[in-house]
Amino acid sequence: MTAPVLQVKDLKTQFFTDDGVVKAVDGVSFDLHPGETLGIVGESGCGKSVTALSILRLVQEPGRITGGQILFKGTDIVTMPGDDVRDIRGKDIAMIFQDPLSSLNPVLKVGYQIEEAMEAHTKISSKVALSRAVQLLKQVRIPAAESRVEDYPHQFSGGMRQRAMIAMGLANKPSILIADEPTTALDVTVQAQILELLRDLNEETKTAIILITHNMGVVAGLCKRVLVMYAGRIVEQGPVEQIFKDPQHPYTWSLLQSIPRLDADRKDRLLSIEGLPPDLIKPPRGCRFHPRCQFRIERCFHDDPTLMDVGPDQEAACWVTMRRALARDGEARA
Amino acid sequence: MATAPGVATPEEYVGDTLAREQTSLWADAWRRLKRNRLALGSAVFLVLLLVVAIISVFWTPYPIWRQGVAPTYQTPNSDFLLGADQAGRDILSRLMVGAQVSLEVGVGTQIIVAVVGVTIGLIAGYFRGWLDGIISTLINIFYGIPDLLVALILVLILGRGLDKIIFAIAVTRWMDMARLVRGQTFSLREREFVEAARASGTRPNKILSRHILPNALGPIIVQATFGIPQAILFEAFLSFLGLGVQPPTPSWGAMAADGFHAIRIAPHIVLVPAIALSLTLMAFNFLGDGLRDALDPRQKR
Repeated sequence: MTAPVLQVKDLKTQFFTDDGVVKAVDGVSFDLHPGETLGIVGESGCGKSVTALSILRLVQEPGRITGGQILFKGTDIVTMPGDDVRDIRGKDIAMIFQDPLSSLNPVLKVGYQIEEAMEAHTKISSKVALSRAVQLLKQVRIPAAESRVEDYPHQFSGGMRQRAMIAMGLANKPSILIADEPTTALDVTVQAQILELLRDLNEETKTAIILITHNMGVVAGLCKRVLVMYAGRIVEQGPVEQIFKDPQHPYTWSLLQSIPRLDADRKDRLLSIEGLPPDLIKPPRGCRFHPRCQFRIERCFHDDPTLMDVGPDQEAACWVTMRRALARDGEARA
Repeated sequence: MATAPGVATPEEYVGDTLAREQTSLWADAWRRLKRNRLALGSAVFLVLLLVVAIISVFWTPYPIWRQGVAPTYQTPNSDFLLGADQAGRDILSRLMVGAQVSLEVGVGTQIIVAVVGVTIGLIAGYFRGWLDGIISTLINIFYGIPDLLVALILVLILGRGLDKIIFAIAVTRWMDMARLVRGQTFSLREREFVEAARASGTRPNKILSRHILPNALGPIIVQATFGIPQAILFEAFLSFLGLGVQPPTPSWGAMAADGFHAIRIAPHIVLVPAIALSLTLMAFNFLGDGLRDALDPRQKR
């Protein structure tokens, strides 16, 4: 296998608030290989967006990266001088955001904003920049791209705005594109188109994609590998098919059980995970998921599990694992 | 592509229906301003005033400084449309040059205020921290000192040239603009498109000039429009006290002061500059109101 383009090692990002230190990301490690598609899923506040912002060192005060390494092609972004990080942003690692309307400047033409993304890193004439902007809009399948570059963001539909954002992200041919909830603000039909576009672009340009979402379905549509985050930590990771077929962490299992399915019996009730995500200022002792876990055992209350191999290429941080939990439930019922 | 004649291909169809008229933010604002009769009327009045001021540079009915071109205290007649003052100088001529002085003071002051206030406000709002602390303290100190005192001291030290008076008034007037721009920058820097620009490696100076400033331009224009009449009034007030532009250059404030002792026998000497001043101030304020309504995107109809 080729060397990873991005290695995150024991990343810790904390927010120093008046109420205490919020451990938003608490020891996250993962590798990203060139051209790979990686999904990061979890509910609101589990640290997935903060992980993404940390990679580009965009975490704002009172937040700070307090530990770990983020190696981009071997160099550590965490300790890099600010100017060098700015050179990486948008050139090597690009990011697109959740709401495409608020991510585009309302007073500037779409074409100008794409050109600006290029001009931030390379000296090119405005004529070349314009033709490249048109080409990028075509690449993200915007019809009549030649006239559309002259439009303002409010003249674009929601899906087209997100396409334009993706065009901006791809402007400098980055090796990594981080998409933070790229489809959350869009209609379901448009969501599918955007996912399809990202999948095609991943194949065409070999840009590695990190997709951040709370939607398991979106991950299934795009990613080959998935990380499940809970309370600032990775609780399970592995290939998408494997995780969907055979989730081992009760949290992953619950997330999958909470997706409505067309082929399920109408009388079946959707599973909802009881309770709220834990307070990250004072996380629970033991396994962080134990207060909400229906399969917990005595050990979960005081002993904090780390990622352990639970299958081919699959790791989960759980003392019980679903394999044993379901077997146990089967016995109890028998 | 094989399609029936007269039927547009999907590409043509999409391109055609989506190609709407180009409406920028400014075109939109202009459309709304045009519907506001009062603001539009004020704008027309101010353009006329500007034309009069420009004409007065080259031509006035009578030389403004020459005394005795008319009988002293002459009331308006066909030769002297607005009458003459206590020294027999033509009031219309002096009013025209006074318009020039007033506009120069108003616009000149606001240019200085805009440059200084916008720069300081952007820096304080974007970089925050200790820089903002110093600037905010400075703004509060300037608010604490009476502006008349500052202006009087500056005029006494620097002299009574028009440029010096413009500078003195600007010194007492930059804080409103700085505070407005600082607040706008505070809220704009948290917007997602600014974060997106940061995430694509855009430098702070470019973020400020291309992303934050254009989005704050509406309120800045409105603030400057309201600032102009304040500056004009302040100059008129200084001139009324005898501390404005050096005579014989006429200023509306000084003209009103000249006629003040004779208000019973020749009220036109006071009334003419006073009415001109009032109309000008009102026009700027109505235009400012209109601009505020037109540039406020929440009022979109």
